[in-house]
Amino acid sequence: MHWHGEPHAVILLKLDFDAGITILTGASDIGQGSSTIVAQIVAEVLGVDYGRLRVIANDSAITPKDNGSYSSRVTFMVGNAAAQAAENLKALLVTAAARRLGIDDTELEWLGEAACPRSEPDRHVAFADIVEEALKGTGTITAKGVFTCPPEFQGGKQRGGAVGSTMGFSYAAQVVEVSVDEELGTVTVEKVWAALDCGFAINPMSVEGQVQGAVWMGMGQALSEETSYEANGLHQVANLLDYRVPTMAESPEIEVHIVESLDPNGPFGAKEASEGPLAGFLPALAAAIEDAVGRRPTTLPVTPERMYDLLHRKTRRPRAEPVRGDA
Amino acid sequence: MSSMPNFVLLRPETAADAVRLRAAHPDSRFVAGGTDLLPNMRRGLVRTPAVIELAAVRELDFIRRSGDELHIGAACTLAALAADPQVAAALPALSEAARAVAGPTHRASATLGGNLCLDTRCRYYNQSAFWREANQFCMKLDGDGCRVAPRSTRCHAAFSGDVAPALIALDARVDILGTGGVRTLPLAELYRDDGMAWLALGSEELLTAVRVPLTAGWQSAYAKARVRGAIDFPLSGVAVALRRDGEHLAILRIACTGVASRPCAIGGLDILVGRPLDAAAHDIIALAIKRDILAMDTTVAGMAYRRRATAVLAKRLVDRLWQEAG
Repeated sequence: MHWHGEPHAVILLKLDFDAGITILTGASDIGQGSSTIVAQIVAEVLGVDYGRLRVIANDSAITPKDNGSYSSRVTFMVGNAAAQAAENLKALLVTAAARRLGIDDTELEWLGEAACPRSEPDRHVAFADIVEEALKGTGTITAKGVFTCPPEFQGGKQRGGAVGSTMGFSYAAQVVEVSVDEELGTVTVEKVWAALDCGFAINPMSVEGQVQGAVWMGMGQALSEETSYEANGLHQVANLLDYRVPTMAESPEIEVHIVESLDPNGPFGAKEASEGPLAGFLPALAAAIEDAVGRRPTTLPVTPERMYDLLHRKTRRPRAEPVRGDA
Repeated sequence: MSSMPNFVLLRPETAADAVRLRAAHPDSRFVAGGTDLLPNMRRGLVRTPAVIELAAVRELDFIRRSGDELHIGAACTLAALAADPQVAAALPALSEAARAVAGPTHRASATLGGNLCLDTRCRYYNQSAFWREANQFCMKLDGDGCRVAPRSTRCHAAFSGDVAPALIALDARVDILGTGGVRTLPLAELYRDDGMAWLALGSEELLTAVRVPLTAGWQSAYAKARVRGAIDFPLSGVAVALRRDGEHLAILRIACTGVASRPCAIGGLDILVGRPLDAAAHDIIALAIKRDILAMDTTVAGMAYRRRATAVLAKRLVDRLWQEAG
């Protein structure tokens, strides 16, 4: 899709006479908070109040195309595009503010909600007046920002590589505590500890929520979600009653530890917050079950039936043997 | 799931009118909470020109004590049943079973009568019209033969209501209103061991109330095996009621669900009366359960697991109630 050079993320900003900024993004906020992150980044770069910002997301008639909310790519790619769009808009506003103050651009001190000459900190021009100056002779202003995943991060020339699925290489560790009902084969997750190097946490509460969601998604894969088919190819569980996504009843306490670092390529040093805590749950659960009952599941999900069969299998596998293949 | 087909909605205000309407519209169906009927209608499993809605029949929504019985109206919601302090104190199995049904939003609208009359379920039946057609349907609807047991001449779809086994263990009776008046029968006799015709109800009859004896000294409990702690139908459900007299069993009643086409009242337990709950007694219980249940391949979870889980749940509940009564 991107071999011909189209960027991986595009953001448009629209500034109008009311001194309000509309952020147009194709990124889908599926609950992970991507609209919040985009607004935070624009507000941070411009230094303006949040009250000036409005996000319009994923309306394909008016927003730029976005690749989608997958691979935990949105903060990284769309966030970088948003920062660039805000820088581009800021450059226009700096010029307008300098013109209004009768000074050179290079002498301007940008204060976000106002600007002043660096040498005369008391001679302010307010943001609304800067916008008025900027709109002279042109009216509504649009600014654009893009982000292109550098080829060295696209993972090579393999089919699909150009989509640049992720650049946020986070690191995560996970501990899972389980109890196993050896008569019914029921595995109960008692508590989960997840530590994540997410780069810079732009919104720590959102990171915590992302980690909890990732743990939960991993829990579904590990314990109850399964697709299976009849011999004639019909899907056996083609509905949300039989395809068992965990419920609140299964949700354990999840203790999230954010371990910050600064990624040189991410917006403000951010990486991502969901891939590591998702992938880590499955092997951590298998290890916890082995610690509890002395046998390690190698087939997922560990449904009660599968756990029962594992517990009552005739030969006992040595404890040190590593997880193989399908786990 | 398809969109809802067209039907005429009838809205009587008394139980007698409801029964008259049912008699006047032979292919109609009663609906109360609709948590079972409506998805089945949308999947094309139930085709009916007329639905008789019971929401305005206020006389069926009650829980009241009458002498040494608790009377519960068929329109009482499962949420109300689960939250009722009298039920929780005197009939914990019923309380626990009502709370074990589906999720909170289902229980807020699902009713006692609806759960007792729940359609039987099967992995080959509770599917979309497209799916069933691609699988050449089955004898329960539109096709021939049983996909679960190809040589069977009967349908093995499983009764999967949680509340029925609790009420059977508690020796409940049900009031059935027909055009000729009310008849009362033991709840166990409401059911037939046939996945296609599991209810012994006349075409115009309406289940109106349940009568549960409040017998002093009875302990009771319900537990179900399932993959998730909410929403799922029972892979197996077990209700136990017992009375302990010193070191001896005075009464032991067990009923199971999800493991046959009707809720199973486990027979042959009377010989344990007057005996202690020892290993030999547990063997007798396990054998009786094994003999009476008929878990078939009606769920994606295997039948061997469901049979074993039934025995485990029964042993645990009997042990727990025995200890609590000691």
